Amino acid sequence: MGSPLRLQVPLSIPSRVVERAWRQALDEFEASEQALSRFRETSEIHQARIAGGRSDTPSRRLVAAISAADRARRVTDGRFEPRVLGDLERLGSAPIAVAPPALRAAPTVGRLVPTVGRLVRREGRTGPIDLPVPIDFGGIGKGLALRWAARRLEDVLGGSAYLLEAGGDIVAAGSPARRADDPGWRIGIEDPRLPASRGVEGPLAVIELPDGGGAVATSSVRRARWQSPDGRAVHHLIDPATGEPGGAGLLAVTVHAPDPAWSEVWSKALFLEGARGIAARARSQGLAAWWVTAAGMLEMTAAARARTVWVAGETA
Amino acid sequence: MTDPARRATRVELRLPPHIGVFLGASTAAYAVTLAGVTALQAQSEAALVADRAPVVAGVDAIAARNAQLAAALSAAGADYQAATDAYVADGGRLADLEQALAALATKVATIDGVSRSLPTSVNLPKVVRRVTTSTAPATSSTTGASGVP
Repeated sequence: MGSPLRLQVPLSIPSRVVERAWRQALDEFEASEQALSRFRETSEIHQARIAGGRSDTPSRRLVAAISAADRARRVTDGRFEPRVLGDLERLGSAPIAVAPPALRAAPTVGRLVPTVGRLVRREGRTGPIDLPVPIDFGGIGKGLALRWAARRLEDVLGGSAYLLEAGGDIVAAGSPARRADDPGWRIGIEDPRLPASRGVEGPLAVIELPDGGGAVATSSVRRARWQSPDGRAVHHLIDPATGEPGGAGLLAVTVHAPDPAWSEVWSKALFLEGARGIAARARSQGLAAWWVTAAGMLEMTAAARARTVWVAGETA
Repeated sequence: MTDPARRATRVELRLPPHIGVFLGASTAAYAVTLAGVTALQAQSEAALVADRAPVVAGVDAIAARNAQLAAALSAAGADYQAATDAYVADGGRLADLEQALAALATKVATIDGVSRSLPTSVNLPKVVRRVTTSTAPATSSTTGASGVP
């Protein structure tokens, strides 16, 4: 969250329509951040945490996000786990001061059996909610914002093609092709081995989305790395089984899926499988996935290969 | 006038009266018998005809039905011939289709073979020397890491 946004549409769309579409996308991201971001003090989820995990009048977005996170946890057999906030803070990721002292410390997932306990307790379908363990929407929040923004764009743009990007995650519809032999939306996959200071340079590979578009998300350790309080180099992709940074042997995972929330969830869940388990899990789920190993290999599933149009090489 | 020569040779046939009568009776009896026999025969024949009438009627019906069957067979034969003629005409197209399918099967086998030989792992260049053999195609966007922890 807090990511730069970019919207691309065909030139044939009238500028007033484009302006309205852009405004809708901005509004949705603002509303989603206000509901879900742990980087914003006034956000609904942060205020619920200050209130001991309780929200008397939760917004529709917050309820939907909690439900989606719970479902993602079950579908990925617990690889995706939103209750990792305690571990992130223990490792030094605290963008907002957690104090005042009266605020209870978030338990670490390492001592929490992920399959036990619901994410939320609620009185009826419209009553207050109670979050027994603080939740972090990292790994799904941006995808949900893209999903809801895409719906708004489709209302404004009708069936026109578009591409909406938010900090490296993408949702696209239709095709920008003007002629039958023009390519569809082409997306570069960033090289995670480049230092973050070098920004976005030449891609590692280029993929082409099918005519229906879809969503592309990447989980990567290129940027979100820091030094923990005890001096270790850590990153933000926490393995719920250990409470520590996971994904041994991997630098980045990219997934193409029809929905932006699920592409983000699976990019994180596959990353946490590590270099040994990712291929089997990606194939068993039928995913189009690309991953870069710490050993310098770009690997992909067969479904991903079908979408790959270019891969960087080296002269002999 | 009778020729006297013929008169001389004419024999007067005189039968005893009982003979004549008997003869007449015999003749009459014979006639009656014959009539009776005729009647019997006629009656028998009538009975026989009556007995045979259902059979004859049945035979007639069978003959009529047979004629209908013959007509139906003839019509079916004409239809079959028409279908046969159409099948023969399509045979040429079917042969063309079979040839096209055989050619497609060869292409599919070739593509499948090429597909299996494509690698799923690619060695990446070292970061120190980023030299590429070809230029990346233009892209609309790039996916990668985002934000801060």
